[in-house]
Amino acid sequence: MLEYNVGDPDQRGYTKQPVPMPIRIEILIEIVVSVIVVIFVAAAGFILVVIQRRINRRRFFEELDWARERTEELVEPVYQNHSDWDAVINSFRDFRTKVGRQALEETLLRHAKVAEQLAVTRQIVQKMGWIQEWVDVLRSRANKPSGETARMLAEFGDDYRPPTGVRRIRLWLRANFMTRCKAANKLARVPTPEGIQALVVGIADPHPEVREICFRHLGNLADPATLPVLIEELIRVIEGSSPLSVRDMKTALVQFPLEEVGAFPKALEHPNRRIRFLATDIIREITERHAATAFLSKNDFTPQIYRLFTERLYQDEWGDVRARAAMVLAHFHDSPSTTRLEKLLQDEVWFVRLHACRAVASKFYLPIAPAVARRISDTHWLVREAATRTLCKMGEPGVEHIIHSFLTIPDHYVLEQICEELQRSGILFNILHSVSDEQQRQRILNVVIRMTSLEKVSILRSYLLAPVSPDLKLVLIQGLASSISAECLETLQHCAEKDPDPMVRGAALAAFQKGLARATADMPVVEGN
Amino acid sequence: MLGISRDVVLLITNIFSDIIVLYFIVGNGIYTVLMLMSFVTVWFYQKRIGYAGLQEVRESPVTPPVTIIVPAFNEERSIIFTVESLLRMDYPAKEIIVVDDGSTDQTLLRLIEYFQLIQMDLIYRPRLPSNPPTAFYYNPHVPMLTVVTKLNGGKSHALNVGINMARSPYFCTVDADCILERDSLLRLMYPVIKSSVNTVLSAGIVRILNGCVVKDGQVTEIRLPSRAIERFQVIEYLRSFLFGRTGWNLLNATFIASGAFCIFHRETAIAAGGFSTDTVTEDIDIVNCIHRNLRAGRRKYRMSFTTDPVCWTAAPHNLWLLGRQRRRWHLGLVQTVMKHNSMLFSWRYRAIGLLSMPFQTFVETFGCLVEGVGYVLIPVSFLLGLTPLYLFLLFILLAFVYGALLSVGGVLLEELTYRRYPKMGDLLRLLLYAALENFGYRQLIVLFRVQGFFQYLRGKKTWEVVHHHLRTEEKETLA
Repeated sequence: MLEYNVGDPDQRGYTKQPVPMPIRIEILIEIVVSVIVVIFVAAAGFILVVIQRRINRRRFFEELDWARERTEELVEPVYQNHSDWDAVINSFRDFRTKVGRQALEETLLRHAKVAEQLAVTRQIVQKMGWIQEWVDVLRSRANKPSGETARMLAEFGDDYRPPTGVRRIRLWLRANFMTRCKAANKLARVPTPEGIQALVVGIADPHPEVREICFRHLGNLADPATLPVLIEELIRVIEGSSPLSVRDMKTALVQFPLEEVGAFPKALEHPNRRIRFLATDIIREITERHAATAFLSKNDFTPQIYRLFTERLYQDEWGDVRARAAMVLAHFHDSPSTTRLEKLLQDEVWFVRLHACRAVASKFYLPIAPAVARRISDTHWLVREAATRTLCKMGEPGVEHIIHSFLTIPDHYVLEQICEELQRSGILFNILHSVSDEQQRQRILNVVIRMTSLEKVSILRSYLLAPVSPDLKLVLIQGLASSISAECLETLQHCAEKDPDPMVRGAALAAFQKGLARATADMPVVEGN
Repeated sequence: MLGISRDVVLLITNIFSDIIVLYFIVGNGIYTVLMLMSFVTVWFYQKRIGYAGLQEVRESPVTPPVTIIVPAFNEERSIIFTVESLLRMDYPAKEIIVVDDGSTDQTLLRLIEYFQLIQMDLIYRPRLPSNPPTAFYYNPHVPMLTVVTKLNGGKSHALNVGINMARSPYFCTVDADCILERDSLLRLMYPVIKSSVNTVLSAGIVRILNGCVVKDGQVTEIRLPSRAIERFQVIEYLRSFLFGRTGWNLLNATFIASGAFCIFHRETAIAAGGFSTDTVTEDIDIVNCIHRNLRAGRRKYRMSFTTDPVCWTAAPHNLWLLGRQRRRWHLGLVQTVMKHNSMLFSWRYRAIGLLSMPFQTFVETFGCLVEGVGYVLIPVSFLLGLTPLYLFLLFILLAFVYGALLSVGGVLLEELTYRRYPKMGDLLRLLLYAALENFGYRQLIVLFRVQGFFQYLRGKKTWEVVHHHLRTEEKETLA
């Protein structure tokens, strides 16, 4: 055993006691040295990998840039004058390297985004054999389709023959879930019948990520034939038998055109209320997307869907369904749906009333503006807010309803809500700037007095100090004179001293003095000694 | 007598040596495991993002709206950059609420002038405790932006005011000296949208803005900062975000989320009591409050950390500011760990209680004391002749080499994935600073952390304010 002297006793002054060196120190030192060496080598390795990767990536991107330029040069004329296909394909065969292939794929897929160039891209990609390659990759591990999917594939006339022998083994080894996802992505960007079939098969893939991407792209492609499968999957997701997220399925389904909502009755009539809700909500999204570009009517929907909404869903047992149904009903633009919307405006559940209020936010529903105006004094603030906003969107008559409510309703909370909307929407600016005749002047004055009584004077004070017309300032001063708050008095004083118009200065001074006197009188008396 | 005292010293030294060795093995072992896990996770994430479908999320009508809350206190030099970068952000439905926490400088005035805001009397519905707002500013032509001002009450209060004003199901906290990349909010919301489980928190990566060029509220050129102290922080951030947080997230044991850039589910945050003033790091505290609240309710939930939504933040540019920042961070960490110590080794909290919390407590919180004592004790024991020179040197070397390995690992992870620093020179400098970080800088940070610990013992509860430098395309400005 090694011996270790802690020090020379003569020098240190205490008794020499040979301390046997513990074995663990020896071992520890060996371990530490080994660990240091290993860590040092690892750190050096990391550094080398970092530098080498940077150099490789630089080289890779240089090659890629070069390849991109070359492919662009070759591809551009093809899209312009549809040259000889075989010659084009042959010229592309030079891009056999990984980088060349990537550049070519990028260029062609970029052109696929432009509708007119998609057909050319599809031709090239098909002739290059890429579609088949991507289909093989995507279908390499998918389970055998069953049920609705199998029926649909049969309808498509799917006669796919998978590769055999060594190719099949290589494909199986190469096609991990990320490669399959990428293949699905590419197939969706250059849609072909065999590509869509592969995407349909992909929804039976063992990996959820591949399934999710296939569903997403089937939604993007919005092929009517695939809609039943997607609805089926939505039902499975809600019932908990599919790991996909509801939002993913919803995102896929809302991509379908309005003409296809006729496929939804199964989900709309489902006994599970969550399924009914999501189906209604999806139809709402589809409808609203279309309504953004066109005025819809009941004729844009199938009679079955129309009946379902006007007879069943608007009085569904679940409030969420009724709320979403209101938004769809509003796009039927006919008398029966207007009647139902009016009924929904008085629903017992507050968020149904909220959605009903939001649904009728257009001039078309001006006839039911009084019903909306009644919601201004709703018990729930979100409904009050929605009602005010809806009336704002109904144009001048709607604003009249708001102002009438503002001047007549005594409820403080309601008034605060209206006041907020008047400010946020900018309506208040329009009102203030409309000081033209006596009637308008009186209206502005009433609004100002009401706001002053609510102590919502910030914006009025800002206006009084801003370079606006003296007429408006006089109205504001008259309104603000009823307030004795320090801020108001300060503003009036400032105006009395600094305003360029003598009439305004005079009015402001009078109001200030009056206000100051009232404030002094209202001041509590403090008893001194 | 001398012999007895020597035995005592020897005993103490031995005990501390064992603790130091244990700390070293456990701490570095966990870091190594986290690093390895992060390599795999980040690599997969990078591959997946290519087909993730961000475009679909951007265009989807079902993408939920987000309220961005910006608490600001004396941020006159950076607030416009920040708000501009937020307004330009690529997200379909966003609302920005800037809460001026009683700034004594021109922060509010700058906002009012730049965005032509008008003072309005809006409704405030308090659901979380805070100082009430004193004024609201809004411009109907910039409907996405609302500015709220209140009496100074601290960041927690400001954030709570923002939450009370927010109308979206999710809110994102952003520091007023930060610049977000255009698609960062979209990327941050991506895991929330894609998850089939309720994702209550989604955090992104924070990178150092110092040295970068900013134009029109966007980072236009990424460079390494010029000062050594800033460069060391770049390495630290890479290590901390790329493999620290990624690793814990993989274990579903997120303990820390940077409040500089983080999305929360609004109702969950409210149910957890919002941002509290109990600690000076309200962002760490709320994460743990959420854990406790949701676990108590046996709710299924998820927290997510993603490495590519980037928030650029100005880092301290001198030792004095760095010290203030790190003391506060450590003070907050100790406060949080103490506040939530019932989670420690609790089965109810699974990975967070059994792994993350013990790690944060014993390695991160108390580790600085062990390391600090080590820095003193090892030379002392060598000077006393209790440790042979070569053993002393070997330990020092081991600690430094291991530290360098972890830092270089962070740079490697960065290079394998995002390669944000395009210049080869910057990369080499990063590697150099990764190796040098353990010689001086690390010890300095340990010192600040120990000071933070003692601040906790003294019962300190207030912030130490840090002002940063932020360089724009034209000039350097204070932020």
